[in-house]
Amino acid sequence: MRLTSALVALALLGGAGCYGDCTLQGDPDSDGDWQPPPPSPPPRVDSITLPSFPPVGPFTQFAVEASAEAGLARMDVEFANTFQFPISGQKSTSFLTGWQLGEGLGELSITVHDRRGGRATRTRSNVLVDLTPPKIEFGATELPATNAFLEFWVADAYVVGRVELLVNSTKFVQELGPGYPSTVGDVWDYVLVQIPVSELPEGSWNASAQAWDAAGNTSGIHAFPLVIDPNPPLVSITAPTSGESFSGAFEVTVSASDPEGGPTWIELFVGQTPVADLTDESPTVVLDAADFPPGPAQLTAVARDRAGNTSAPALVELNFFTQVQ
Amino acid sequence: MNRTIVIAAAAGVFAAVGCSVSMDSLGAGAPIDPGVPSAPSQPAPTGTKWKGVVVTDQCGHTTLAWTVVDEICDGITSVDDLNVLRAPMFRDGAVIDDTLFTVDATNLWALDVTNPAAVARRTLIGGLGHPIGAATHGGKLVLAAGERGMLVLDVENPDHPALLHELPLPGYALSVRVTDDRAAVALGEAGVAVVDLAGLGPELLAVHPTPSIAAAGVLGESHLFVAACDRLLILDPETGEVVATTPLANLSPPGPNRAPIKDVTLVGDHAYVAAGTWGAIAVDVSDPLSPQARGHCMPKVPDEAFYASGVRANDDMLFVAGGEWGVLPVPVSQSGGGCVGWTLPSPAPVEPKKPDCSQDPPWEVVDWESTYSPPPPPPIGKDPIQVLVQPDRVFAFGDAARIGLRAIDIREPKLELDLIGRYQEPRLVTGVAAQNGRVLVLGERGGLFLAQDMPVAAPDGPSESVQATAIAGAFLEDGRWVVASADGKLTLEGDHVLNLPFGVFPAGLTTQGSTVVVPSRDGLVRVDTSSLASSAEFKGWQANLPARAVALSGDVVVAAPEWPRSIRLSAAGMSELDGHGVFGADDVMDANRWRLGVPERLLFSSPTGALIEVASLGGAAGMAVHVGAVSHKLALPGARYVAAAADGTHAVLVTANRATYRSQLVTVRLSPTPAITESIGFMGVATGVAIDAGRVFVADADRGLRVYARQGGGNTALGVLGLGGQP
Repeated sequence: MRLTSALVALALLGGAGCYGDCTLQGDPDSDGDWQPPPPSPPPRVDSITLPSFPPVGPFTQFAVEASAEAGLARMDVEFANTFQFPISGQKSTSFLTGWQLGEGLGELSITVHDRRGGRATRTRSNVLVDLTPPKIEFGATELPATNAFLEFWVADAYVVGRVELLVNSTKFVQELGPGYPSTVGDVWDYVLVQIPVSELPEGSWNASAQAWDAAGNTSGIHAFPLVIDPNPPLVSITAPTSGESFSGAFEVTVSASDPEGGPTWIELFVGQTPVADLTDESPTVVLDAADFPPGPAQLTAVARDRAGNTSAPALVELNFFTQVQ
Repeated sequence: MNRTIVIAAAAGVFAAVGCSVSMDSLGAGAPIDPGVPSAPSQPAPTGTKWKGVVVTDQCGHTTLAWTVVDEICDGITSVDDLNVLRAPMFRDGAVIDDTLFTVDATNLWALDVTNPAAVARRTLIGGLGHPIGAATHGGKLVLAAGERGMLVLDVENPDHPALLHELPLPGYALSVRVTDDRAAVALGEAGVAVVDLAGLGPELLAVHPTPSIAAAGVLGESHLFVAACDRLLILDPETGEVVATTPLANLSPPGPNRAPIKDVTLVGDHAYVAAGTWGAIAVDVSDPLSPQARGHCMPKVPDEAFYASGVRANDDMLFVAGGEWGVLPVPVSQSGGGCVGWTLPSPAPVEPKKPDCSQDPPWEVVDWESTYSPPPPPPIGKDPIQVLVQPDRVFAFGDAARIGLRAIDIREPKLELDLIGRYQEPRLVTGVAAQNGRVLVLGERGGLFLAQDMPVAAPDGPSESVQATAIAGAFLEDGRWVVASADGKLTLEGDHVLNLPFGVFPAGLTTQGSTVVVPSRDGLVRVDTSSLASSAEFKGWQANLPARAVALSGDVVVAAPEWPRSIRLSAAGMSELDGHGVFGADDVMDANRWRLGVPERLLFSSPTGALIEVASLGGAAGMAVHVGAVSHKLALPGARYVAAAADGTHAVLVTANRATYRSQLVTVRLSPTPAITESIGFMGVATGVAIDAGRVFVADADRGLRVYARQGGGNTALGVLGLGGQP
């Protein structure tokens, strides 16, 4: 009965050895009787050829070498996924991939079994398998032509590797050095990419970006409109005019425009104190002279366009006086 | 010396760099995706600010790191840096006769302090640049006003301070101290200016460059003492020669709070400098050529909230403005001065730098919150940034952005520091609703009023206790009012009270016939005011920020500020409205925009059935007017929109900026396409707006109720129903 079980097990495993709850320790002799097995060394997991960097990607292959004088029977792999497969011969090289292991950061455990039921386990700590593609988060993509950066974040579940930006057939590449961020395994790796606008061509472009993580996963191509606007808006104060005096409510009207034809936002100051927010389509505000000290005061308007360019300030000199009650 | 904190997560989850740990168990699956790193969610403690810096490790990983730095000693190199000082807090002051003139980096407040138990405001004016420091000379008010330099104001009539002189200076004026007829004006990176005040107008005698940032200066009998952030400088005031330096920077303890030398005052033969976490350092300057640091004064029980930003003294007592810890009094009359018995700290140890990048796991990940996080906001009255000592009282200026309330505590100038008075910016009203000739004003000074050119009190309003805590209110179809408090207590006219299962946010309720509708994080509650029965409806949405709701015909429209589209609830189910157009689903994930301004949303309807929403994010704002299936969009001025209302033809919106203490009433024509027709700016903090009986009622926390007559595309001011006696 026990023999039958063993034969069934051997047949199932293609002769690779004992499997499952195997209790036979030996070989049958020519009469079919079981003889005690000769002493033999246990099997070995000779090596796990896995560099500490880069992380294992979905298609990364790495080798596991095992040997057993008694003949190899099977290999058990324990990581995010747990699986096993038969191996044979006295030496065996098996190749594993990230897809097989599953995603995670932690200990990889390899156990080999020989045909006599001997087994050996080798572990490798801090194995990182990254199956998640990176992603790109864009900030503002309409920018002034000076003193600014095109900024976007490249994020990966573990380690960002490389990013490429393509603008008007010019490619910008940022390759990150090998190594792990200090937060690996705890939170995603977010890398800020900054490209000075001075290195980007002025005008409107269809740009694209693509990111890779250190394990070789890619974000795919992200297309986006990019505007590098060299022209600041213009602003003027149409009312009141310099020299006018006020004691109570008075109306301020400004005029603003953007050479690109986009909207403009206007901030109004009295004596460098911000007093009102306007737009080019709503350029009038009523203020109260009582909110300011009597005497001369400078009214200033500054406009900003969608790209963040700011205009030269428009100025008028006013005079406030206190109404005698 | 700053601690660098690398943000590894949004919304306050952070991780520190460069530690290590082993992985004992498998972390299966991808780790948490915290989203794009964003600025810390809490304001920095009094006297400090968050500073974002781009850091790149040896692997080339670039990220944003946030450090707590001193708001002055980190450097003031632009008007943007000055703008950081614009917060709801008083920064300095000076007393002339019975009037305390105090500044908040935007406005000048004149307060009658004759009776410290009943301080009254005399006036409030802007137009003075960034007024940061204050002093007096010959009955005149002298201000350090940032980019405006030094200003001299005639305050003979304290109700109408008038600008007499403006002295431009080659730097940003951050502090002014007057000694006899001369003023020392600290100019940050530009050094320190000495100004003669004896003549008809101020005369710039000299500007002395300093080797480090000049935060404050004071003239002694023969020398100029400058708190220069990393040292106390002693200068010849005529030549600017540095005759002595007391380096104190190496006293800085490790950690986010440093010991910047921010302020200096002289008592006898000692100079006392305010030095952040190290309190007041006493420096013997009896021989100005050889100053000797003698010791420092700190609370007896060390407290991380203690951060000295200001020192002022009379002959007997030194008062240290210790930030969120409070005011530290130190007797200085004894021989040798105070603080002498305190041992000066040893220089901070230098921690060896750990590698930033490694290919050899493992590393330790330290939760940022366990490494450093600001202490909890202090109780009111516990965060002075500067003090002003008078013979019979000491004023403590502060209440920082973390409390969000400008205030001054007035205390006895003794060790006990007994509180004898307090002034704080008014918070008279929190909102307004109006219907059928009645105006419901919410808040401490609110009540029920009759809608007329100058409303008068009406009977049957909420009780004082109810209105004091009311933050949301409306009228039912039958004319009854309903108000809600933050803790979810719903009070109906007739004194019916109902407790909701969750809190209510400002303007966080709407009415539909006789039903009150309150949106929640994942649904809404309907309260039938006839039966007082309530029903909670789970809708499965996720409102991370307080949701708003409005009734529209038989439906209800709900939106959280961060949603690109509002949700309409009708008998047929839930449906999404056309997007408001201010931001999309991707934009709202951009943490940089949140850093510029968190999303805000207003929902309201017009009597003609239009649904109107105002959305903003990161300084961009817009309006969408939905009429049937058609939506019209309008770009709005970038501002924080706090309330809105509409009549048949126009909408009125109010904005409020608590930092600059200014608001705007914006009128928008609704059809055929929306367009702004008028904007009125005013000093104060708008909290609500309502339209009824041809009038617009604006709740102003500073003054009370502003009343305007609705006239076509504009509004005519009828007056202010003062509810707090503030001019």
